[in-house]
Amino acid sequence: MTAADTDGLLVERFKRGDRRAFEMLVVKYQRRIERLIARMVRDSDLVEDIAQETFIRAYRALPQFRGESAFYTWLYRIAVNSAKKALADLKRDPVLTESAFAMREEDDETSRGPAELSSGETPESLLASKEIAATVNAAIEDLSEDLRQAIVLREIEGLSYDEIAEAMNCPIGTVRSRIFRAREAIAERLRPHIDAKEGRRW
Amino acid sequence: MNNDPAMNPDEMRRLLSAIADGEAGPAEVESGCGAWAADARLHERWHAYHLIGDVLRSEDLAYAPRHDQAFLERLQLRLDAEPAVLAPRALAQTDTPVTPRRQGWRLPLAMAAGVMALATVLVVANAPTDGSAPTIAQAPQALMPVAQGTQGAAAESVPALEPVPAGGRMVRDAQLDRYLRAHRDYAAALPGSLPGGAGRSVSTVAFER
Amino acid sequence: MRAWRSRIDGLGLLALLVLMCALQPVRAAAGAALSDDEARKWLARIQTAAHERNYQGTLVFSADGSLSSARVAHFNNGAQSYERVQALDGRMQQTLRHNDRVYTLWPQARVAVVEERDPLQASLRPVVEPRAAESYELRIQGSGHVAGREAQMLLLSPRDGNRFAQRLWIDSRSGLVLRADILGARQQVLESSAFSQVEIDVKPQPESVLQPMKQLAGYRQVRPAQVPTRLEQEGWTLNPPVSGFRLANCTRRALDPVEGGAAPQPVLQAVFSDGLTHVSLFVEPLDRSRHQQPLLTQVGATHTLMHAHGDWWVTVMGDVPAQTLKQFFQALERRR
Repeated sequence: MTAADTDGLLVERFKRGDRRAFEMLVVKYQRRIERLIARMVRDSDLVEDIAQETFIRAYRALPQFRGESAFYTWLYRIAVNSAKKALADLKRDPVLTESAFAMREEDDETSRGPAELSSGETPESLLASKEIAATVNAAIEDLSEDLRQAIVLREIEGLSYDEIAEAMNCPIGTVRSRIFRAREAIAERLRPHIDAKEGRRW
Repeated sequence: MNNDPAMNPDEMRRLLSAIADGEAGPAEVESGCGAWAADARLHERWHAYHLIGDVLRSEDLAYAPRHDQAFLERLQLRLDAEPAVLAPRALAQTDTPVTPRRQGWRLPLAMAAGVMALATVLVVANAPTDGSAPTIAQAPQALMPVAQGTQGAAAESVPALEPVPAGGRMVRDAQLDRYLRAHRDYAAALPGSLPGGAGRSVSTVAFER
Repeated sequence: MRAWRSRIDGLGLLALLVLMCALQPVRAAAGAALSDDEARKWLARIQTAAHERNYQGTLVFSADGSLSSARVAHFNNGAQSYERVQALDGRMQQTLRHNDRVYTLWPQARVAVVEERDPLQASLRPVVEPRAAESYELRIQGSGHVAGREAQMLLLSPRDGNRFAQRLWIDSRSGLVLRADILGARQQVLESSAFSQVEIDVKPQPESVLQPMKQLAGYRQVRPAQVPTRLEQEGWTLNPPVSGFRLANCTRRALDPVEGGAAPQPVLQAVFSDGLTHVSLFVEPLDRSRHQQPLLTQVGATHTLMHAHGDWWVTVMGDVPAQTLKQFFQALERRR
C-alpha cells in the first residue's frame, strides 16, 4: 500500500462534501507542515499564518486533486509555495533556495538537535514538547513486544496491515487490534498533557 | 464494515485507528467522520494517534496539544468563511451543516432620498444591536433634542437630564450633526481612520424625510 | 526493534526548568494578552499602514440597526497624500483632502467648506497610537476574513471604565484596519465599520481627488479659519485630567454653516485622545436662544453631553461611555 491510499479515503470523503474529513487531515499533518515552514521562515509570527494559509489553499484546491501524487506530497508543495510567496510579499529573501526543497524523506523535516530553540519556540513550549516526547518514549518502552512491534512497523517502517501481518505471521485483524491497543496505551499516558488546559504551570 | 451509529466509544476509537492507517472502508470512513466531529474525546484520540506517530518518527514534532487545538479552531473559523466547496448533495444522512459564522456585509438598505443637507431632522432607526431587523421611527415635527438616559448611566445630579424610556426613538438634530462632523474630523483610529477617519465624518446614519 | 532513540537528557531537562522559573511570562499563545512590547508593535503597524498604504474601497458603517456606506480612497505617493470619502446615498456628500487642504462638498446645497488645516492636524489624522497600550489590553483572537481578505482579529479591552472595547480586523498583508467594532459593556456591538470591498496597494490616482476640488462652479465656498490655541490661553483647564486621555489638539474654529442661518460663531474645540479613541470638548459663549436644553444622548457608540457651564455652553462628545463625558464636564474649570 502506498502512502496515497492512507489518505485517499478521507480525500474522497471530502470530495463528496464532508468538510470534517478535511479537518481530520489537518490534524494529521498540521505539525509536519508547521515544522516545514519553520525551516524556511525565521519569523515565528508568520509560521502559523503560512500554515493556515497552506491549509486554506489546499481546501480550495482539493476538489481538483486527482491523486497524481500522495496527498501529503501535494500538501507539502502547497506549503513550500505559500512560504515562498509570504516571504516574497514581505520583500525578504527566502532563507533557502529552491533546490534545498526538493522533496526529501520525511525524517529530513526534522533537522535540529533537541535543545536548540527555533525562533518560535519558547522555553515553555520546548519543555512541553520534551515532556510529550519523553512520555511517548517511556510508553513505548512499556509496551509488550507484540504491540510495540506492530506500531513501530506501521508508524516508522510505514508497512501496511497486510505487510505487517506477514512480517508478524498473524491475521490482519490481530494487526489492527495490536496497533489500536498500542496507540491506546500511549494515548492514555499522554492524557495529562492533553487535559491540562490552563492548569499546567511550568 | 459496521455502519451502526450506535457504536460504542471503544468501537469508534478502533475505527479511527483503522482510518488513520487507511485501512477502513468508505462506509467506515463516513461513520468515523461523523463520530469524530461529534465527540470531543474522539477528537482528542485522533489527534493523539497522529501525535504519537509523528513523535515516533521525530521528536521535533512533539507539539503541545493546546497549540494544535488552537490551530484547528482558527482554521475552522476561516473555513466557515469559505464558500462551500461542493454542494453536499452526496452526503449521507445526518450531517450537521456547517453554518457560516459571519454574514457578508450588505450594502445599505434602500434609503429614502430626501436631502436638505444641513437642516434635516435625522431619525435614527432604533433597533437592538443583535442584528434583528431595524425599524424606522417616525420623524417628529419640531426640531428638538431629546434627552435620553443612556444605559447604565441614570440621570444624576450634574447634569440633570430627563430620561427617555429605554428603546425609545432617538433624535439627532442638525445642530448635533455639526458638532459630530467637527468631532469626527479627528477620528483617530477606528473606525474613524478606518480609513474612514473621513468615513465617519460623513453622517453615518440612515435618514428619511 | 527500537528504531527510535530517546534524546532526552535528564540534566538538560532540569536546566531548562530552572531557566523557565527565572523568566518572565513568555510570548502568549493565541488568546492571551499581548505583552506591552507586542501591543505597541501591533499598534505601530496599524498606524503606519493607515498612513502609507494606497487603497480604495467601500466602507459600510452600521449602528443602531441602520447601515450606511461610503466609497473611500487614500493615496500616498511619498510627499503628497490624498483622500476621498463619498457618501453612497442620496446626499452625495464628499470630503476631499490633498495634504493640508480639506474640501467638504454638499452638492445639493451647493456649499463647499474649504479648510486649510494646520499641517500638524491634517497629516496627523490621529491614527491609532502605540500608547493606546496604556489604556487597553490587547489580545489576538484568531483570524477572520473581511472583504475576502485574511485578517487578524485584535481585541482591545479597556483597562478602566472610561472607554469602550474595540475589536479590530487587521489585514494580514498590509496592516490596514479592515473592520472595527466598538463594543459596549456587555460585549454588544455598538457600531461597526467594515470594508465590504477593498483594493489595497493600488496605483495612486491623485486626479480622482484633485478634479472634484476644481469643479466648484456655482458653489458657495466657505472658508472657516481654524486657529490653533491652548486651553489655558482660552482660560480653561481640566482638573483633574481624565485618565488615559491626553490633549491632542485645540483650536478655535467655526462649525459648519447652517443653511440660511447666520454666520457661525467660533467655538473652542479641544480634542483628547487615549491613543485609540478621542473625545471632543466644545466650548462657546452661552446663547440663550439656541442653548436651551441640556442633552445627554447616544447614537451608536457616540455619546454626547451638552450643558451650560456658567456663561458658557459646553458640548462633550466621543465614542466613550457617558460617565467619561461627565468626568470631562466636571473637570472643566474656568481660570479667569
